[in-house]
Amino acid sequence: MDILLETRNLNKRFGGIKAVSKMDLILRQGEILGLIGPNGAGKTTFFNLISGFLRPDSGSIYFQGEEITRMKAHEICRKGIARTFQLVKPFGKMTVLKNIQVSALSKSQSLKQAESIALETLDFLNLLQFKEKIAGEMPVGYLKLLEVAKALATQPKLLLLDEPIAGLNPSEVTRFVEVVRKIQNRGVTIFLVEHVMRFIMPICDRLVVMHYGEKIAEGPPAQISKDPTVIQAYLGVSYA
Amino acid sequence: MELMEKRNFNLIYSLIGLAILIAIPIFEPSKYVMHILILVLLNVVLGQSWNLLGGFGGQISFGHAAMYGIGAYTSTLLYLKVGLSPWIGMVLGGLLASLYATILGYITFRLRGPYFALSTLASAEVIRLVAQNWDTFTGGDDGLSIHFEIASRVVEYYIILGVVVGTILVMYAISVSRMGYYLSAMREDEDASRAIGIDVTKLKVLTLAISAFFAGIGGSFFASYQLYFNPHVVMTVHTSMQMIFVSIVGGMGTIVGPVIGALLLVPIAEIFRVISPAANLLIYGLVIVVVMRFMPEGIIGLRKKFLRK
Repeated sequence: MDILLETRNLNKRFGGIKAVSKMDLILRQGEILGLIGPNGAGKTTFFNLISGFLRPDSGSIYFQGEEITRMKAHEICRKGIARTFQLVKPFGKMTVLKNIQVSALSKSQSLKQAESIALETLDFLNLLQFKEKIAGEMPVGYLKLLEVAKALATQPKLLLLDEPIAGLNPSEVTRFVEVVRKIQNRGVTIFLVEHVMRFIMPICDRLVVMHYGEKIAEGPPAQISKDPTVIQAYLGVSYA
Repeated sequence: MELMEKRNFNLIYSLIGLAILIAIPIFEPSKYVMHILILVLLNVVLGQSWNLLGGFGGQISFGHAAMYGIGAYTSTLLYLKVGLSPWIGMVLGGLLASLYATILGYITFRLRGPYFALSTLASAEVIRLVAQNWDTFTGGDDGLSIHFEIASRVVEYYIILGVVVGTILVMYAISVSRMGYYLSAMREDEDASRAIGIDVTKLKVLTLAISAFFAGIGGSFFASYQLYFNPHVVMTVHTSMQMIFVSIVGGMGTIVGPVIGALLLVPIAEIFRVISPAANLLIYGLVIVVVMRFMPEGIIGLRKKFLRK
């Protein structure tokens, strides 16, 4: 499979803390890659580096063979990397449809075209009945889907999902699993951060584990769940 | 369909309003009434200017007085030094205000929310101090008088009415364009806007520049209309606040909002100035507090509330 995204020796410090350290990562076209690790491991920082919300101190990022290390967030989005936020960021006072329409605009020729992309995206995610609802008045379960809808409307090749199911109930999680698979079937590569193992184990092709800013393990889910270093990172030495 | 109907509806109201405004001078109202009307129209322009950045884009500025002042000084100095007609100088005043705003925008674009607001306030104060202290050029605290054969109050009325129409057309065009959508997104959430590919920096600078253009034109008009001004009249925080009040009282983020705000606030200010010269600012302030407390979305928000019921 082709390499879609690659990070080489990526580093980011906040004062004395190494938030992301020596991260090498390869993401292949079409796969679902999961990024896991204890709280504070640097997962979200790593996402912010890839999506251009933070600049790395050193190291480099390549997307489809092109270096994007110093690009700004909106440029990276236009290259084809879309992201969601852990804490949902809807355009609260706008309707659901407008939320997605404005998201589609940067890749559209006209408002009309953006609207048809938005309608198509809503249909794809089974959200059409909410299109006239004010986004800020939607329950959080739907706001999580709206985050995904906005990201998809930018027509990405790579979708970064930051804890997409945090705060969802079990039936919403089941629905989300279907959504992720549907997106993958569209040919979009998915890179996600998550804590809930029940969710992440079955859908990810590969997992990367971070601890104190470093990659400590990488491999198929079944192998990762037995990896002594990973168990030690999560549960402490005595369980390993 | 609904949207089209609403648009036609608004268009009809706008045209009726415009027809009335065009017709008013025919009835030969007193000079004083014309003066109040001119002030109302000037405040519509200023309110629209502030509202583009603050209402549509969510970037609160406390420093629009600087752009207003730059407009006033530009057209007046061009007339005094090179004899350029202030009505042409008005456009240059707008452009120079835009230039100032562009520079300010590039310096302050990283700042968000209250920090951006404070930076606009601080820079406006700097500009005011320059105007106050550069005696040889700006006339310092004494200000500038302009001995300029004005046409008539009616002509001035039509000039500012023309500016109002132009301003509103530009605001409307922006609000239904890509830029209008981007502004709404930026107002709601800056990070989410960047994440969907909006160049927030460029958007802020562009918006600030357009907004400043109209504030500058307003300042030029004021100077050529009043024939005298000084930094304390055009460049204090009070001027900036006036623009904010016009927008907020009418309804932020709508085009009709600043129109209503100006129609209400300017006459109220004038009436209380006559009735109780001592307490007029107090009463003016009270009106604003009451509106903000009971109609957080301005007067236009009130209509929305009733429609929902």
